[in-house]
Amino acid sequence: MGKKAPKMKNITKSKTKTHKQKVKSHKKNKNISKQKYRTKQRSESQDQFKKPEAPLTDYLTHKSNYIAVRFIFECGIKLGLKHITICSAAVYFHKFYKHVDETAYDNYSIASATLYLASKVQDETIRLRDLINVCYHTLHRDAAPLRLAEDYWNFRDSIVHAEMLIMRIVQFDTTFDHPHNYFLHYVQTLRPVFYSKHGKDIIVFKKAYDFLHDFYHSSDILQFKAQHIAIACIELAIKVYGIPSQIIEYEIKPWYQALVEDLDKDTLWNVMAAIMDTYDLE
Amino acid sequence: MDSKSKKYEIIEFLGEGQFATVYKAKDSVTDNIVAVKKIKVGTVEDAKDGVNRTALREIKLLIELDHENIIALFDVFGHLSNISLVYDFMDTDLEVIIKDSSIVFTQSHIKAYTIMTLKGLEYLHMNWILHRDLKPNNLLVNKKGILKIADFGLAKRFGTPDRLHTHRVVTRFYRAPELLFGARAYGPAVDIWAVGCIVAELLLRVPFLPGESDLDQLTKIFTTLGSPNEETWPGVSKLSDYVVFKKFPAIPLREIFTAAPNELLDVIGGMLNVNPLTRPTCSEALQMPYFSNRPPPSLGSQLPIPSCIRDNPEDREQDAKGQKRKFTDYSEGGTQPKRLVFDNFA
Repeated sequence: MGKKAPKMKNITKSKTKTHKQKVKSHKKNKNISKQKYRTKQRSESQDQFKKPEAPLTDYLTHKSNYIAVRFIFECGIKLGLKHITICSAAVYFHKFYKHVDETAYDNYSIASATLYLASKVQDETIRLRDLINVCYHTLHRDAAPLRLAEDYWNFRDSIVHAEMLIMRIVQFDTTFDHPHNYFLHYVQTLRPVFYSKHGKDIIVFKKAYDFLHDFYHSSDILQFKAQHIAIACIELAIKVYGIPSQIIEYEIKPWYQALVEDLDKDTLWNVMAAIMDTYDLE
Repeated sequence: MDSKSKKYEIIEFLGEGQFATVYKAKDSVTDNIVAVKKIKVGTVEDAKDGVNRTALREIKLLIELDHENIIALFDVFGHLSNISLVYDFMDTDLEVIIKDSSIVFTQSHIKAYTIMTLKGLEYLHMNWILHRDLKPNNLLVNKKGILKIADFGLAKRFGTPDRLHTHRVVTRFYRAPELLFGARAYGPAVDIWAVGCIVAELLLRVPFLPGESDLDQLTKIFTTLGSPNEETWPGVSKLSDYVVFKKFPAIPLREIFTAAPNELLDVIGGMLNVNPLTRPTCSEALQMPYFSNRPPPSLGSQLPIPSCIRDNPEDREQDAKGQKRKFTDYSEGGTQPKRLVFDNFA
């Protein structure tokens, strides 16, 4: 999925250079190269760009809300937006489609507009022109940028109108309690407990962060409390990697209740199930 | 949602700013009197960029705030390509009150206004929000004498260390020296400075430091309060727009504010400290002896009401201030009420 910590992005970049790829094709295949990095060791001998493991999404042939959120993430990363801005855009997208029939509006116009709106709300200004170019190029990967002609102005108008429409549908409430706010604090608290010489703790937290961002692809992100989602991501990552720790195995009280008092086992399982269900949406 | 524009019956036109038109209206469901600010989408530039950023910022922040001394946002609705914001109706603002020469301020009045401003601001700062445009014009006052901070078009969250702010904020007269020196990592002290200027203005009845340009503003600040050096303000020379000033001694505040009690001078002196790090926070300021000493602050009902509201409507039609209002920038509603129909006002 189209998200990655910035640090990894850099690594991917430098790696691309060593493979003497043209910057342009790198940009196009950014997602692949990242996927590649993840499976670097296996694919080392292969030609990285001819046999991608995860092909670029062809957004025009796969239309669903899930794919549209992937589009938000891909465009957001290309625009260099902060994670929280991209996540806000995904939230506006889900809020919008909670009230509106899925087929009533073009997914990608709405998705582009949510990015524009989120960038304004988060005070991370992007130029509308840049947004249009990035979104257009992501949809039509082989096409040249839109010329400043009718199509361009139509696209621009549709984003501006969609933005206003989104504002009205979400009733002008652009606030959202992101799990990130809590996630970071929980991780800070847990780090000494999880500390591993081999950096396994870092892997677990990174995976948890991946789960968190992947969860934004599901409209269930709106259903649960931010604290609960943050814990569920960490717990899921622990379950995947199986970190033994005295605190995790502490029997009198589950570890997470020390951080979030109102979280019981059933709720946690519900959230974790919802996170895992995200992967079936594709 | 279009039905909402019908929910509010417009009573009268109140004023017009660069970005918005303000109407006084009645909520037909609750009969409350409200101010409706309709954001203009008149210019081509605005329409192209979509939803107005200032309005968006104001909505985003106000929707989460609830305090007696902060303007309340009741409702937002969109109609066609307009956005309208619905607020508390406020009868006047502190600028009108300060300029009304028929009003005589007592120490209790000044104390009451200062406390209300600081309480609202304390709440804002506690919620990690900088106002960044405090001035008498943005401190609205209603007939009950309650002061509310308004206009959050420049407000911003603060506290993230790597997030820089622009220094092009705050109306010049109330702009803190660190902003004039180009600081980009500033904090609540810029709002405190503005409050200091406002308190001084309550005493003097004219703007305390009316600079004609940014440089003149600095000159006015330093000739009055003394010029800073690395000793009084460590790090000042590293600010990007720092300019060396001639050494000016500070004029004792006692000579400027001849009638003010000593405790009040302590408050002003603290807030108008050129070094932002030594200015008190809102909570610290409210703990200063001035606020607990006699005389006690006036109750809301004892606070003065400007003549333009007291007088009958005909007189007010000719009031020059009404004209002035039209040109002042983006002011919140309730600046120029023209009729006395407040029976339903809760």
